[in-house]
Amino acid sequence: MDKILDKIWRFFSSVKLAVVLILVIIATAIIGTVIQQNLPDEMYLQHYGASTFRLLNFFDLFDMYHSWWFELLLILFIMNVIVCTWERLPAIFKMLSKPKLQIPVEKLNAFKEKETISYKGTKEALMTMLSSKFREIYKEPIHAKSEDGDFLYLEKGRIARFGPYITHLSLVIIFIGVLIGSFFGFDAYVNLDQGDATNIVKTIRGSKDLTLPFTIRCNNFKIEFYDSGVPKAYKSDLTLLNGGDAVAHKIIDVNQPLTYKGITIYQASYGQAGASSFDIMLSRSDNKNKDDVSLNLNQQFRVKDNTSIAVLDYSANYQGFGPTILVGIYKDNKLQRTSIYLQKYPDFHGAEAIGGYKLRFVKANESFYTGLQVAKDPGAPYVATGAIILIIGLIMSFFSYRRRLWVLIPDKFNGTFTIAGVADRNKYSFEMEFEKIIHEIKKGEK
Amino acid sequence: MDMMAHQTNTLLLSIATFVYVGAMFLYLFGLVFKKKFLDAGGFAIFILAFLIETAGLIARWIESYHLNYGHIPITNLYESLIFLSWTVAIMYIIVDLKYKARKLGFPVSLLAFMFMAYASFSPNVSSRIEPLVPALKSNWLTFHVVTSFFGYSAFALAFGASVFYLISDWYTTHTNGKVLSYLPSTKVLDDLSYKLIIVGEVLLAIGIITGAAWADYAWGRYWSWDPKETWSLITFLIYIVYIHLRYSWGWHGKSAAIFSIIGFMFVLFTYLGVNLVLSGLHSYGST
Repeated sequence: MDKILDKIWRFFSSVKLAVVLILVIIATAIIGTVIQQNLPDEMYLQHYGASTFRLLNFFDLFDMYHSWWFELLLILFIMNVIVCTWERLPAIFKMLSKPKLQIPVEKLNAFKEKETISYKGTKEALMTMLSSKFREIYKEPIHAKSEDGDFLYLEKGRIARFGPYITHLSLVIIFIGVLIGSFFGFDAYVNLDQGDATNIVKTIRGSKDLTLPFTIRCNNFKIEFYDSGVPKAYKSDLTLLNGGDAVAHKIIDVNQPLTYKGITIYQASYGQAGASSFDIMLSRSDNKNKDDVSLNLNQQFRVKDNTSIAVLDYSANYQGFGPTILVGIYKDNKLQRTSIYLQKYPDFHGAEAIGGYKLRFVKANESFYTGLQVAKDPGAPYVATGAIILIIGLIMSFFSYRRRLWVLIPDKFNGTFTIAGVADRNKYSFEMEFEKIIHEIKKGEK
Repeated sequence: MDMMAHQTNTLLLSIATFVYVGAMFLYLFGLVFKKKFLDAGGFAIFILAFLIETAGLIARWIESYHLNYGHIPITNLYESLIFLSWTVAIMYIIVDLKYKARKLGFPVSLLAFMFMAYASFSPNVSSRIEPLVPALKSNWLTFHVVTSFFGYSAFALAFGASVFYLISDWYTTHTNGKVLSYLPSTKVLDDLSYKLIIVGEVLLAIGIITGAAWADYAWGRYWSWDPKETWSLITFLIYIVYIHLRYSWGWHGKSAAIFSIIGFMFVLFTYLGVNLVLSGLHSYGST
């Protein structure tokens, strides 16, 4: 049993596994960008045909980022990160807390970066010179003795050794945040007409009804367009009600949501609910009497005596002629005839008058519903914290590197001493640095 | 007035495109004839192109205010291509000042020219200044785009250094150990490519995170596996693999250079391919 556990542990502690897992995650993640995700089944059927559809569906490829196998890959990856970190961290702490102040001469001689320098002076003078020179150009050396002689030890960039662990820890924090969000959060939407209120929203994944602890009322929804017809801004004036009392109010905009009790309401979209009312101008044939009226669909308006009109139908673009209404003309509440009016061509109906009035279709007041996204994600702060730690970890790992220098001054001082050093990585940068140090030391010797 | 200013920005940017070509040829002659003054000339012309491009971008920014749109010029394909060549240019100037990698001017001016030429001359790319749709009206826009694009630029330069590495390495192995004296040494190129990749990786990480934060403010979802998001994550992971191979297995030299070149293909796909081939939220790729 222990052997199996040991084997599993060792399996997860390998960096090779991490690389393989990342490559598999990359390869599979690409699939989900090629196959559009979360479309209705009919669209897939039409596009792929029945048998391909069944195959792709079997592997959850239409919602692959939430499939069991993709989630398993992510879980394996996180376990890998945790075990790798757990396995290496104690050794790193030991290494950093007990630096090797002196090392055997053979090891010292084996370093690639090594220089033996001669010095004309006493050993004491040399030690003083080196200490002050290193303090000036590099850092304070630590002095140690071994059977070979006196050692000066210098280490820089140890922070870099912690970087990877900070980075890996941040991934775990992000993962925890994602888990919290998926267990205790939700992501839903609701469409509201102006004046409507509801406390029921629909979840985006699974489309289940969800009851909110408050009611959202859309007091007003406004949409502005650029001249090109592209939307410029859309804003919903919302009031949140709890038991009839208004508990929050805000006009939300696309990047300006409203948060109440951990639940945030976002302006996500809008849609056309149809034309709600129509502005109509009635004018007497002699132009003496003008009347501007605004009519709802099917609302009768008395023009004169027993003659009345109503807008029966609306088309935003009737046969290429633009916004058009179908008007019914009534006598004694009985439909006599219908006629179309074009907004762009007011003279289309010429002199035809209704009860002595000319009718002109000024404009339709289109009404839109607001599309609200309602979401709660108690995991988000963890994800955000993890993300910041991730950046700190990356910077610690990348922009610093640990390197160590030893200076050996032999007990039987014969006028030469040796400087050698090694870097954990960035060998080339270290080579440059080492060259510079040697240059400085040689200068100080003169 | 509006019309004038509009012409000014596209005119300046077209001029900059041709000046980059000039710089590119001087750098190329510098490589072929091995004369230092050609490199210096190339660099001077490059700086000139960069300044004209900067003026063009500023003119465009001002112009957007004349049109009452008022936004930083990084919001459609045309602007983003210009901005990318601009960030590549800055990145190169910084690298040259710090590491004396002037020879990289050739691939850099070639890339800068290609991005700008695509923006200016492709019939699929409109140079019109367009108003911002509501979703883009956010302070996160600038931060997200600037960090991501500087990240892309760092990867582009790493790509250039890696190509030079392979050329230099190929020359040495095919001439029994002779060294291509007019390129930086392979050691320098390998180190430079690595350094640029880690810079790119941090910037890309910040770009992804600011994008996620923005999405969370706008829609309440920091991650939705949109193709652009997914590909930027994929690109990030590709370079994470590169870094682990380098740190844990000591990969460097030729294999690292090849990896860096492959990595840049992922960057290009994330930047352009996703918008041109796949569909999703980042609309600047549509025409």
